[in-house]
Amino acid sequence: MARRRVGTAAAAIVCLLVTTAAFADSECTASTDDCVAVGSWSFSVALGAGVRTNPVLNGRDIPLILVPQFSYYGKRFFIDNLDPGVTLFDGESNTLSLVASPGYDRVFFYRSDLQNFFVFSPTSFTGNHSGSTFLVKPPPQSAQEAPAGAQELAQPARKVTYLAGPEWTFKRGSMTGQVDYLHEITGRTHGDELRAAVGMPIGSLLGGSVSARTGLTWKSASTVNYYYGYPGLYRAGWALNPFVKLGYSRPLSRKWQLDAFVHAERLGNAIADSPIVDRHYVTTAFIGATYVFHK
Amino acid sequence: MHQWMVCHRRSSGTRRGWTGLAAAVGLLFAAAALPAASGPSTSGSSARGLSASASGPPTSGSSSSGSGPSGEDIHLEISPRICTLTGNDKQCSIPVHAQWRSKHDESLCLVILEHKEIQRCWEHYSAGTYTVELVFTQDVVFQLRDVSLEHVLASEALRVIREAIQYRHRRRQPWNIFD
Repeated sequence: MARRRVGTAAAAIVCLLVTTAAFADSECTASTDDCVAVGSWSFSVALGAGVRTNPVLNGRDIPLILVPQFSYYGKRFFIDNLDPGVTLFDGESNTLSLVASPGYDRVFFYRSDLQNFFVFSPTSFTGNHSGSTFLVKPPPQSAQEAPAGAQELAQPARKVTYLAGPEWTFKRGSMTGQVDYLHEITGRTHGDELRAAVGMPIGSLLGGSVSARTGLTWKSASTVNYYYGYPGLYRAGWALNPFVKLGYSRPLSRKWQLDAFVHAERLGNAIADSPIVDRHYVTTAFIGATYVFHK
Repeated sequence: MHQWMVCHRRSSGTRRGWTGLAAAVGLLFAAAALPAASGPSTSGSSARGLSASASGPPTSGSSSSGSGPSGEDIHLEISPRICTLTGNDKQCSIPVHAQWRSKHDESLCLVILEHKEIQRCWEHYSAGTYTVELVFTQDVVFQLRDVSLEHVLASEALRVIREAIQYRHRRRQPWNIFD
């Protein structure tokens, strides 16, 4: 069933690309918001205050203090924070790439998750300090309470996972879109994930721009089970998580800009019904100043 | 910054007979060819933010006509000769050193075609140097001209080479919370 879905999605993407490739306009000719020089890299750090709520029972919310961002673009290869990829087709309006991306849900169970290195918080300093401020491994949560029985249940290990698959990104006027169909390739969940979103600027405010995004994440049953299932207690099905995001960005100087956003994601029923989950929503909010070290 | 600097002539001689007459005629022709030689009427203007230094004849005064330099024996060098723009570089901003020499004393001016406000002149010198801080995006041509500025005696170009840059689309990722 999952393989059929993968095939269908891949075929749809290829058809769209073949259709739109013929209408590809001019290529990138200069560094702009949409285009980068081949071989260039960028690094920025947002310093501010924010939080990401944790839907896991007794899970601590994740404070956001530093949000580093890194990217490198070669002619085909690129790395965008933790997502490496290879671009197969780069048109004016459509881009097709093969990407790899870490499984997202682990961030709620391990503060030391790779993705939390890119959402750096003071509590990450607890635990062993390896000399680098980003290589801190706090002790993992050892137990969670199941709400039904109110007994402590040992948590199964949730390893780092990576998913890989095709990514289609597109631009239509001021709207940008993204569709990823990813399969877990590290042999942990054997699950699939569909990520889709569109975003666009919606106006100006106080010298800055306001943007809105909406999208969804579909996770296969095996993916949801790996994170939120419990042997003998709860077996999850697939889940569909829609989200909305409102963002604000205002340049302050050549190197500084003000960034703020609120992101709300509704967890699918298969996740929200899990005995180790006690919230139906995950909210992420942040406001801070971003310093661009290199662009 | 006023860059016009002119030296008095170092010597004059009087010849007699036909030789003297020929010299006088020659001077007259030279004077006719240098209508602006009575003073620094074509003097340079402010460098407008450009800094410069020079060595050579530091004296100033009224210019005078003389036999026109041929240019054949005048050698002009600039350093560097190439400015390479890489990555996101938009312009070159570097000090440029110009140096000239001749087997004979010459009266001439160094001009920069794309920065006509910069002008440095020497009279009856056989060598000179000049350093200027330039900001430029295209090739810059340095020329030695006679004091009338009409005849080019030597020319050198400072080339701008742009690294061949390819561009591609940045990843659009509206799904990412922090993108």
